[in-house]
Amino acid sequence: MTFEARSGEYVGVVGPNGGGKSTLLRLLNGLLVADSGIVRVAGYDPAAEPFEVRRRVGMLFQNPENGLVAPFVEDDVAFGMENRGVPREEMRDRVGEAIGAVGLSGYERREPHTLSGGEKQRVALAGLLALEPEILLLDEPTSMLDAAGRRDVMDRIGALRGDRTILHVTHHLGELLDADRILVLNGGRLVADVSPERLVLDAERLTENRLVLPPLSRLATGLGLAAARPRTPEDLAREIREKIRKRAAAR
Amino acid sequence: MRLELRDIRHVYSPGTPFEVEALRGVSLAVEPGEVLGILGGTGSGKSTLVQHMNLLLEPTSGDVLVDGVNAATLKKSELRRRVGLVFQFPEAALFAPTVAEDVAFAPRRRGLDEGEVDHRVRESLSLVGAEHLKDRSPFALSGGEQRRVAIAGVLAMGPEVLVLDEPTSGLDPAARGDLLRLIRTLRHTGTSVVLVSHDTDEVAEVADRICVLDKGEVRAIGPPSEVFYMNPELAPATVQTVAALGDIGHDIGRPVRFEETLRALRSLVQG
Repeated sequence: MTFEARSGEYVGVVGPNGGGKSTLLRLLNGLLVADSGIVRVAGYDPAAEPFEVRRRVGMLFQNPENGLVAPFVEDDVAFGMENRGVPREEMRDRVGEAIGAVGLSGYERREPHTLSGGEKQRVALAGLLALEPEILLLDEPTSMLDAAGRRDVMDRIGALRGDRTILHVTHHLGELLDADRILVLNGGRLVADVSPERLVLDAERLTENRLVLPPLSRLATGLGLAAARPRTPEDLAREIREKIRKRAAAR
Repeated sequence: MRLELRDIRHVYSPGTPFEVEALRGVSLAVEPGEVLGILGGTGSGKSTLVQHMNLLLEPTSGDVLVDGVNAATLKKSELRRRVGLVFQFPEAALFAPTVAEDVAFAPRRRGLDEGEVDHRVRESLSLVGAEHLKDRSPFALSGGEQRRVAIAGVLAMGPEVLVLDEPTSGLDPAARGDLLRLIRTLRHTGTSVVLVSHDTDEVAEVADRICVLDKGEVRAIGPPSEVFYMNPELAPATVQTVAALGDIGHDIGRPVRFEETLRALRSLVQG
């Protein structure tokens, strides 16, 4: 496969189990080495210079339990910086900033095991942000969270757009409706590199790649409303009311 | 089988600084042939709860009853045959060179004759739609196929209650759909299913009743139309849409399943 993510782009990666999504992420942070071809991350070859790459890349995993190691939230967020020998003063500032960026100010002295899944995942994200990565690799970061946790984590990720290049692997197409691009991987091949707008209208391509639109998008489509775009239940209810009004007016 | 949990408390590491009360007096029953969905956030006690259903965990206090008989008086092997528990990521336990041998492992160990073992392997593989995979190596299958084969291994024991802990976790949407169809099929065969999930959409599709756990207590239990419409914050986005429409003057009842909801909304929109 061949692709390039530009600086600051938010790129979604979807496709069936075994499609190659996780392999792709592992190639990008040097956990795997490609048999052939060239991988460059921020100009570095992850296989040859994994540390240069990992200094610039933050990776968030599925299981929120995996990333947390310290007794208090603030220690956890500081953990990566301690390993890199960031000076104390600077560390304190960066911890505060990172915790603020994920909306957990006031949680500094909380014990991670008392937090919900979504909160734990945000603590893990704060730990990454404190290291000021240029690139974020997100490997199904919401798949083990409930609906509320998923919304929280997605809101925080959304707020990080622009400054960082983000590659987001997920089974939930609904999380990518406002991504810049979506890569579809199937059978180890890049079978599509398209905008979300185009992908959601392409029923054939969705079926071929075992992709399912989020329930609200399917409801909207089934009711003849504008196809998939990010919307809340309240948005959809208002759209439906409008449609009923227009019909009544037409009579 | 009717499986009843009565006032179950479970305390982890009692008497240590790590003491945690994971279940605080939970009572519920799994009725014969029903699909009971168990919803709850991380740390709500879902996994702890289901491990009491075959006494893999023993309650700190409270009783588990099987058709009215205290489960603690039954033989453990008998109880575990009748209440099959499928953990999260069960495919991690696949080990045999072929799918058929993997599924045959438990019934064979129970000392069933080869004819019966063979019959059960066929039957459970066909239930999960994996007959065609029987001679394949379990390690060469896709994630969704592996998951179904692992479930077939538990079905081969002929459980009366099948407990599935987050069975769709990590599966792609199509494989998730296959699993939900399997749950419906099992229900038709009279097997009760307990479905633990954090995904309200999938629970809404298959559950006859829903139990919502919160911090080790039952917060709500009942038919999906009641539980979801009384607690819209716990409901799927589609139900929330219907509830929001109700708030702005368009009442269409209490549909829960996707197709049902779409139908009701269509007739509203088309007048």
